[in-house]
This record gives sequence, structure tokens and C-alpha cells, in this order.
Amino acid sequence: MDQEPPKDINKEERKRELQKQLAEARDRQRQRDDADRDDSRELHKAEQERAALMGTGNPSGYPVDNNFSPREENEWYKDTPTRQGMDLEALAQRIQSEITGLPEEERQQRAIELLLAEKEAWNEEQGGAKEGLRKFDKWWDGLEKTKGGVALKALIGGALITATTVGLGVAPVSLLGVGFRLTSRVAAATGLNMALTSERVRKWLTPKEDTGSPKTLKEKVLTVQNLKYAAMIGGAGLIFMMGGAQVAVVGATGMALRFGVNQIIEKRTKALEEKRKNLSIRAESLQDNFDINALAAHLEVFEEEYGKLSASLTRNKWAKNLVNGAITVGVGLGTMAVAHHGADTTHAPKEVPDKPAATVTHPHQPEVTTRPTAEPVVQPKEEVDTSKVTDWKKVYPPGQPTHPITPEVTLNPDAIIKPGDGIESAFIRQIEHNDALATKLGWDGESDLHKFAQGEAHRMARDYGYIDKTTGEEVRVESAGKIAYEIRTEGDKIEVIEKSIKGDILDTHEKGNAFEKETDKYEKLWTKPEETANNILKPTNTYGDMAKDAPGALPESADTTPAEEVTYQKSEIYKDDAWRNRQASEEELERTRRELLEKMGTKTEQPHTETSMNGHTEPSPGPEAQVGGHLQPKGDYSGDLAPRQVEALRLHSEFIQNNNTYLLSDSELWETYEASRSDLRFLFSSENSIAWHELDDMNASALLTQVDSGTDSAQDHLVRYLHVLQNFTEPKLEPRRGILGIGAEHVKDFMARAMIQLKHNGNLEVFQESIRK
Amino acid sequence: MSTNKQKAQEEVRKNIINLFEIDKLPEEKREETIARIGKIIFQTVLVRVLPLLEEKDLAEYNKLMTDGAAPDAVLDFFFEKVPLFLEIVAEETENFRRESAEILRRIN
Repeated sequence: MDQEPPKDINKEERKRELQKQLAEARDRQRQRDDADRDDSRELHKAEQERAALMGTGNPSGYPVDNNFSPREENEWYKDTPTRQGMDLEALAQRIQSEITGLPEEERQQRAIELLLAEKEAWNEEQGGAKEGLRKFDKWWDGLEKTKGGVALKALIGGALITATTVGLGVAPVSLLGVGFRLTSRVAAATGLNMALTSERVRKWLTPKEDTGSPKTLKEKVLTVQNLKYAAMIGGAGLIFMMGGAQVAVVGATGMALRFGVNQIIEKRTKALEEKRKNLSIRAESLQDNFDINALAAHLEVFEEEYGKLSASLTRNKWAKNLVNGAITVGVGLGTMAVAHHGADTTHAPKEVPDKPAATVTHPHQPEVTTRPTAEPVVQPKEEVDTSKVTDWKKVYPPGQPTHPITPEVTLNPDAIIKPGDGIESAFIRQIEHNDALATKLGWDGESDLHKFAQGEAHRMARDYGYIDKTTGEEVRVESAGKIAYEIRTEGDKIEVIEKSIKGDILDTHEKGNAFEKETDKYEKLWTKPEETANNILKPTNTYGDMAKDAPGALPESADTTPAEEVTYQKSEIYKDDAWRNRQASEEELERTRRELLEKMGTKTEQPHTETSMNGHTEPSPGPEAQVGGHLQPKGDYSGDLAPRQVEALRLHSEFIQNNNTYLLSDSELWETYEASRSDLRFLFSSENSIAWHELDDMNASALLTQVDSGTDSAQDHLVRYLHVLQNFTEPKLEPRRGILGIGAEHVKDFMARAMIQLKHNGNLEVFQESIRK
Repeated sequence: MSTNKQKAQEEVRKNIINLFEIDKLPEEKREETIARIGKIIFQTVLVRVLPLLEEKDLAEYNKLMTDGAAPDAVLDFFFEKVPLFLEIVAEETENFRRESAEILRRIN
């Protein structure tokens, strides 16, 4: 009779089995690693061979090609040699053998020491830049002989170390969630703060005792020491500033605290000094959980000082460094940290520079009461209630570079929010009126600048925290004529400076800022009303202000009610042909564009269904699906299309969402899209005509069943066009009818689908010729 | 996910400060280590960019080095002459971090 084996025998067997599995898994992993290394070596060898054949080879295998200038920026970057990775396993083994036998507490430090030594040796072996490296080494070593040289080295080291944690340019910004950003921001700051707050750096940076007493705030700020350091931060700081504000701002926090707050505020407010001391201790803490809120609170104070100074300093070269160095960064921290941690911190309004006292409370710090310390640098001579101005051209004549009311203040009139404006409107004006800015943003110098500006303005609004990418919620401005949203560039850095009409800086937004849930007091949050079943079937008003002017439109409300909220009756509109044929204004088009983008954004969250001709509802790929080449409504595009083309197709999602069933390539899809625009111009004289945009969302099936009334109306033109289009399709396409009118295919969707089929069948050009005949 | 795998991934995510335990070092050593790491990263960046500089720019670089130019001038030079310099710095910094983390993980 069989006896059941004891339980521990089963356990032992299981253990052995698991060990065997583990060993096998390790073997497989090792084989994969070996294969990877082989591939890597092969690749390197091939690169060397290619370089040799091209005559650009060198002993290190790095192609020497001293002719990068004519290349495009990206090409140059692409051409930089990819460094052959170290053999990590071999190195690990070497280090392992070295540290074996050492006491536990020494092992790690010894390993680190060996690792760094290996890396130094590795760099020295790279022959392609041997001479340059030799000179660099000499220069680096020579730094120690200079005043503050050791500190400089530590600072540069800290800067470079910092670069890694934020993943500057390495990880796509979109992948960096807020949580990740905060974590890495704090962790990254540690590196630089450590350098900045070290004793040696402190000694070097601490200004000598003043022999005289400065008379003005400007003199106090513009000390040689400060300028020297600001200049350096302007250089080293670029490393962070250009790629990621999060690290930069925290990294420069030590600077801001030491040189800005120390010299301006510390001398004036004994009470603050005590509080700041506590803060500095936290700032210098090497723990990852040091208190960024408290730093932000102090920088609020610093920001005020900066706001007062900025107008007077803009023409000064050194001041420029100052502005674009540590202080800018510091201000960035104030705003950003507040945005992220606003729930924990309450800030006194910062708009009023001359207020008697600003009280900042913080959960970790009882209360900091500060008094504005500086005498006002700029005093507006007079104040005009700009919210009541109706003729803005009189107030800001075109081409006038500065604000006419306060000539001392450099304020771009294009940046000022005017009646009916959104923040994007201010962006559009600035981009459109500044070729250099447009070029910096990617304008090719040839395409329609206005369209480009619209696209970029919206992108900026999203990227700089004015539109919630997920919910579509927007930051809007409470009232016109009081605030400017100025786009400022320095090097590759682009930021948005919010200014009062007097020129005081109120807030700063940088790329990657989270959506500003807690708006400033001159702003408000606006959520687009949700579509109801009722208004889905009605033509939606995508033309904002135009609708207000339209016959049958509701009277314009007294306040700045978003135009999108205005409803109107289509039948009423059509009574007035003059209005119907009017071209959409730029602002109206921009609004439309924004709405379309929002729709696309929200659609991704919803299940997608399509209603087939026979009434069955089928799942459809949805906007994220890859439907043509690699073009998708969202995501990165690496195909043949220029960014503006990708943007246009994203905007006209009917070409890429569900209609590209013929899997056209990106370029074919673009040609089809261009053909459709050409047809619209042929039919309506402009693709932006209001007539077309009133018809494009109509039920295509219903429209095709209408009898041609023989008139010259836009609708009849479209019906005739659709009939011809349909007749050219092979097999003949029918518009999707939907169920009870819901889910029916819109005119624009059907048009796109049919044209894509024509393109696929090679009939698109014939069709277009036929239409024009 | 197994605990070991989690641990390994956490290790890789560690930043350089944690990775090299810089915060545990005495101040003098801390500065030295930071500077040393910075130098290594800078060198790897140079290995990438120097071979592509034009002759006149190389001459300018050599002059900066020989004259013992200020660090900000050196950085300005690279930002001016090397398109996407920042990206290269970031990449090399990340390479350094990743490789170091991997080696230390293997040892531990």
C-alpha cells in the first residue's frame, strides 16, 4: 500500500524544483545579456568600419567630422557618436574581487572609489577627443588655483549631477507625472544644494563686509559678488534652466536664499532672519523630504523684490544675467511650488507691491510676517481704467514697443488681455508679431504664420499650465486690461511672465508646469459645459464672437461670459446670407481649434462605437488606435510630416480616427487632407467659411437624400459635391446612418472617408478635376 | 513583481546622490566626490562633442582651456557652438547614473 510522503519531503522537492527554475532563468538572462553585448560590439564594429570607409575614422571609433555647422540642429545631434558602453559585468566582477574580504562598512565606499576610477580611466581611453580631454583636465585642475575654484568645481559637479534626476531631455516630459517631478525635483536639488551650501562655497560666496552703505536697493542687489555669481549661474544654471525648471529652481534655491533673501531681506527684518534660519537649516538638509513649501514661501517675498527691480534693470547687461539667472529661477520656484503645494500653503496676494504686510503661513513654520522692504523703483504717473477702453489701437498704437501709460515699464502690448481675449489670444498676438519668437517656436518662415501662432498658442497654454490636458479645464482672466501674459525667451528657455498693467511680475509659468488649479486672484477656472443629448444634435456654436453678431443670437452678456456658452438657432442664422458668408475671425477660428482639440482629448476617455449601415453597433478603434502609417490623433510622430502638418491632422481628426481604413501612409493622408481643403476653398471660397462650419457637422446621410433645390446656396453646393464624391467611390460608400440619428456620420467625416478611399483607389485627382469642370 | 526585481528597479532609479552615498560623506569628501563625478560627466560629454567641432571652434575651445577661462564662459561656449548641448549633457549624465547603478547593483 502506497504511503503518502511526509509534507516536508514535498517541501524539499518543491524547493529543489524552484532552485532549478531559478538557475535556468538566470542562465537565460545571462545568455540574453551576452547576446546584447555581442550586438553592441557588432554595432560598434560596423560603425567603426563605416567611419573608416567614409574616411572619418579615428583610433577610438568616433567619427571625426569637423563640419557640423551646415547641418540642421537635429542632424548634428544625431551625428554625435554614441559611446560604446562599458562592459558592466566585467567591471562589476573586477570591483567585486577587489572588495571581497573588506569589512562591510568599507565595501561600498571602496566600490564607489573603484567605480569612479574605472570611469575616469574609461574616458581617458576615448581617443577621439584625447587632446581636447587633456586640455580639459588641465583646465579643470587649474580651477583649484583660482579663487573659489574648488567651490566652482563642486558647483559644476552638482549641476551635472542634478541633470540626471530630472531626466532633462531624456525622458519625454509627458511621461513625467507630477508625483515623479516632485520627487525628482527634491532629490535633484539635493545635489546642487549640497554644493551651494557647503562651507567652502559659502566662504567663497559670502560678500566681504561693505565699507560703505549702499543707498538704493539696486546698489544692494548689484554687488560685484552677486553679479559674479549670477553670471555664473547664468551659465551653469542654463544646464538646468533650459531643460527643466523643477530642478533648476530648487537647485538655485540655495542661491536665492543666500544672496537674494540674505542681502535684501535679512538686513531689514530681524524677525525674518530667525525664521529664515530655520528655513535654511531645512534647505540645507540633505534629506529628500526637505521642505519645498517653505522655500517657496520665502521666494514669494523675493519675487516681490524682483518685480520692483525688473523694470529698471532690463537694459543692464549684468542685470540681464541676474534676471535670467538665479532670480528668474527663484521666481519660478515660487510659482511652481505654490501650484503644486498650494493646498498646504496660503499666500497673501502678491499683486500689491506696496501692501503693508504680507503674511505667509506654513504648516511647518508658525508664521512669517514680512514687510516690503524696498522703495518702489517704478511709480506709474497715472492710471487709466483700461477695462473700459474700447479702442485698443488708441491705447496701444501698433508698433509701439512699450506701454504708453508707464513708459518705464517694458510691457508688450500684445501680451495684455483685451476684452474677449483668452490667454491664448495674447500668445497668438505675440507670436504673430514677433518673427524671432515664432521661429524659435518652430515656424518655418513660409507657412501661414497666423495658423502657426494659433497652434503654438494652444500648445503653450496646455504645456504651461493654463489648460488641463485631461479635463480641458482652462485658466481664464477675470477682467480685461489689467493683466499681461508675456512670452519671454532667453536662450532656448521660453517662459510666460504674468504682469500687472504696471509691469509688476505676478507669476511665472514654465514649460511643464502642472495645470494651475489654484489660480491667481486675477484669474478664474473655466470648465467647458458638458454636452447634453439635446445640444449634441444641434449645431454647436464654434464661432464664439461671431455668433453674438449673428441674427438670432442671444444678446451679449455684460460680463465676459465665454462665447462658447452662447446658444443660437441655426434657422435664424441662415436668414442672413451676408452673415452666413462671413469669414470666421482669427479668434473664432482659434476657439474652434481649441474645442476640436478638447474633443479629441476627451474622446480618448470614452468607449468608441460605430454604427454600421445595417444598424449594428460595433467597437471601433478609437482615436488612440494606429490607423494610418504611424499617424495617430495623439502621440509622437516620427514620420514624414512636419509638426505643423501633424498638428493640422490632429485638428481634423476625421482623417485619422476611424476613416483611414485604407491605411494610407502619412504623406498620402496629408495629400488627401490638402485635397479636401482645396475642395472646400472651391466650394465655399475658404475652408474657414462659416457656411462650411455650419454644414460640416450635419448628418451626411440626410443631406444626401435632400432634393437639390437648384439654388446657389452653400448647402446646395455641398449636396451636389457630395453626390459626385459618392459616385466616384468604388465600391460606393454610403454615409453611416446611426440609430435614431445618434451616431450618424457627419458630412466632414463622410467626406474624409470617401476622399481617403479615392486616394487609395487612385481616383482623387480625377474626382477633383471633375468637380472643377 | 518579485521583491528582488522591485529592489533592483528601485536601485536603478536611485539618483546619483543616493547612489554614491554622497550625503553620508564628510563635507570635504562630499565636495570632492561631487566635483569628481561632475568632471567624469563633463569628460564623457566632451568625448561626444569635441570630434564634431569645426576647426575654428576647436581652436577657440583650446584657447579657453589654455587660458583657464571661467566655467561660465566654457559652458557658454558649448551652448553656443553645440546644438542641443543640453540634451547631450542629460544623456551622458543619465548614462553615468544608469551604468553606475547597474554596477553597484551587481556588486551588491
